[in-house]
Amino acid sequence: MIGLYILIGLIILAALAAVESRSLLVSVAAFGLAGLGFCLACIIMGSWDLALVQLAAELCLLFYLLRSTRIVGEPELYAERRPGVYLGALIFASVFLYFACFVWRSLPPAAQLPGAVWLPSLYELIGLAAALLAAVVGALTVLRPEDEQ
Amino acid sequence: MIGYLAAVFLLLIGLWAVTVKHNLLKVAIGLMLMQYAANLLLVALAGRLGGREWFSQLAALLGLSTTIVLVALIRRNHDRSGTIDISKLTKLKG
Repeated sequence: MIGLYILIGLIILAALAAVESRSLLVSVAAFGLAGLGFCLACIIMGSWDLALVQLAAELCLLFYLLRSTRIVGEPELYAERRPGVYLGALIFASVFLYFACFVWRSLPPAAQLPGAVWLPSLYELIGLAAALLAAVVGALTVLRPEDEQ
Repeated sequence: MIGYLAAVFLLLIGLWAVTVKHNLLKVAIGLMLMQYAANLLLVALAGRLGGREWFSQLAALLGLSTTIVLVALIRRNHDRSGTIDISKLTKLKG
């Protein structure tokens, strides 16, 4: 049950990040994480079918929002590089995904979707990719000469 | 209980985005967060509703459809006026 509490807390944090972030891209990414957490919360509360419907809807919407963000995003936001923001978003995504796997694996067997044992591994792979990307962005930020920062 | 609390928090965050934010895409995200809150409340109430979980699935799909129309309108508006700042949209003529 403690996992559900932390998950709900992370969903609210992601929702706040989606609303408060200055970058539209980070905003949409945080919104996607909130949606992912929402799907997991639905699974934990025992509503598998809604979780799957919501996940499919979320993926469609994210794709469309990302396309729209690229089109309508303010050019100055994209021209201005803010590695700290992207670094924070990547670290958050990585922690979120790993925690999602932890919650997923701690579910009772009756609540787990048969045949979807590969799904936590996929989440972990995405989380690992996000963590690696965060490390690269962090290293580039640290190694960049001061006059360019 | 945690489901109700989360729904209230999500609803407040969405309401805040809709009322305070000037970026139209963030307004759309706020609306989606409010929809999440409504769905979460439906899931939390599932035991009391008794076999009406299909309603939350229908709500999720309807929410997706309306949000896609909304985002399409935002893009259309951006093509016409060149901005998605709600405070700069002063002409509502068709």
